[in-house]
Amino acid sequence: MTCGSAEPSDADIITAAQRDPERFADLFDRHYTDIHRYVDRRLGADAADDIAAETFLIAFRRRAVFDTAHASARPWLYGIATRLISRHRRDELRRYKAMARMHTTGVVESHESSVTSAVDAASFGLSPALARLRHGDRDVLLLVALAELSYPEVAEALGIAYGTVCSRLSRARKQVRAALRASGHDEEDDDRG
Amino acid sequence: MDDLTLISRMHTAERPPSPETTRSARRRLLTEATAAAGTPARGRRVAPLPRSKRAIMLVAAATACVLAGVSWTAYRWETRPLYHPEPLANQSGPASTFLLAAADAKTQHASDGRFWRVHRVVGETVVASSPYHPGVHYTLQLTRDTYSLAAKTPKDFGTLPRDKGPLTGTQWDGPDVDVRPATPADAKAWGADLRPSALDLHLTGPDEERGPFKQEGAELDFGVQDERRLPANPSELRAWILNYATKFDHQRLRNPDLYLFTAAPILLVDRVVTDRVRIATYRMLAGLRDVRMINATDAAGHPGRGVAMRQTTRDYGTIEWQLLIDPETGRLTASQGIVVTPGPKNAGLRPGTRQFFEIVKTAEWTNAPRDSLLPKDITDPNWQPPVN
Repeated sequence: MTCGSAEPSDADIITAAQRDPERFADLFDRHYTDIHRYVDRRLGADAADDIAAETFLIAFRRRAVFDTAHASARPWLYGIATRLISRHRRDELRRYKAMARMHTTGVVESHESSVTSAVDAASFGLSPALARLRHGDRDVLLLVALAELSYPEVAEALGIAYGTVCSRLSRARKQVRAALRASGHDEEDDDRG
Repeated sequence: MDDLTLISRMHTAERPPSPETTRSARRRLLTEATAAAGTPARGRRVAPLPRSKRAIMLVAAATACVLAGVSWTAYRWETRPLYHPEPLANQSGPASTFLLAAADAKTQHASDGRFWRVHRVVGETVVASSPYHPGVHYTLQLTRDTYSLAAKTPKDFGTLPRDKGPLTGTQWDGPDVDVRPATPADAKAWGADLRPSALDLHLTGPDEERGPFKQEGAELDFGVQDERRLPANPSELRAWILNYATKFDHQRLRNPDLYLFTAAPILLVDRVVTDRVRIATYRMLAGLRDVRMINATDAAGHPGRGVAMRQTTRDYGTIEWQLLIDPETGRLTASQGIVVTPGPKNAGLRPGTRQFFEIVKTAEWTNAPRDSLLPKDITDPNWQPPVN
């Protein structure tokens, strides 16, 4: 519980939703837009409409298993959304290919291309590199890069060990950096590992 | 700009959810919540009737006990395993017999080592558009060599240059994406088009698909700790995989056998598991329904025997997923998805096309020194390819 805080924590809301299920709508109001945005960035807005809604339905059904020792439900919700995204893996790969085509041809060929029209970073060969990552590695990378989860939060989201997060992220970033170097981009180091 | 920032920037959102979409999603949630509450959302009586202080305290204590009990019961209910080890069904028929023989062969050739080394040729068949002549298309097979080297623990693998800590393994790709026409007619059209390369055709490389597209369940993306914990008993392995697949939404799978045909092959090649687990995987596959025995040819033209299962989806029509296995050694030698009836997303491919495929060149344990198994550019960050 968050004694003295004006806003109840996510854990408080989920605890309250055990006896008053409708309280779960507070969690929806708090996180729906972020979850939608995360899915949109990976799969597009139409898929996000379905997957974000499904994420909260699954979370509601699984509210009894949420570990209320964690004040924030963000990792849990992103984890559910990521599992649902994995069922659309081929669509995600098609998007990356569309980005790469758009860069190499300079032509917007399809809906898949048009939805990624703001992709300046693809000029560095990122999309083929992302498409080639192992699925588990890509999930870890995108939870860090897009959802801005910390390593422990990614571990919580995907139900994997902290060390596994580190090794997957390291492996993924190594491939991405190699692609950046190959396309002539000198990336700066950062402090995110 | 660092790589994570670049990745973040390249993933732009198309649009925020519309107010109607948000309302609709919230309504769905509330409908379920209201049903769970057992009373309508509106008009529910919230204020308790006035009572004496003692009675209120008693009621509060009793309510707290009941709620704790209900929460605990709900937790236990929601975390209960949905699948339990059961005797495997129907271990008879040609496919089962073949898989059990593969398990026996693998038992005879079981080994172990410090490193698990894999070399695969991964491929995909695509319809390519001519970069020079609008309206000209031909069907091509794209292939790429992929390699991985992994140990059972980070301590066994150690640290590589450019990494800040020990890893459990690494993977790398061959330098090129190779292009090959799918049929003689395609070869003629491609040749007439000056034999453009993958780069000329703006093709980034093949997608990797070993099994049916997941329509339910989660990816088997467990880490090394789970790899070490995997049961070597086939029925326990089946239950473990299915419980992992349903852990996040806790809903039984509509077609667990199809899911297992998807999931299990990654244990045969990709994951660093003991050969005992690989043997258990074959025995578990032998218990799946709707698996049939096949004689087929891999993408390199080698004939072989194996097992197959068909999947029909809205997007990709019907695809037959095939696993080719060397019956002498119990080694998975190839896997491929053959188009039976195309769907909207592979409409350009003819029935019989090998849409996705891989050839497993190497998948073995070795005790060779780690750096002798890795390319120079991984072990030595200053290494430069020789200039001809």
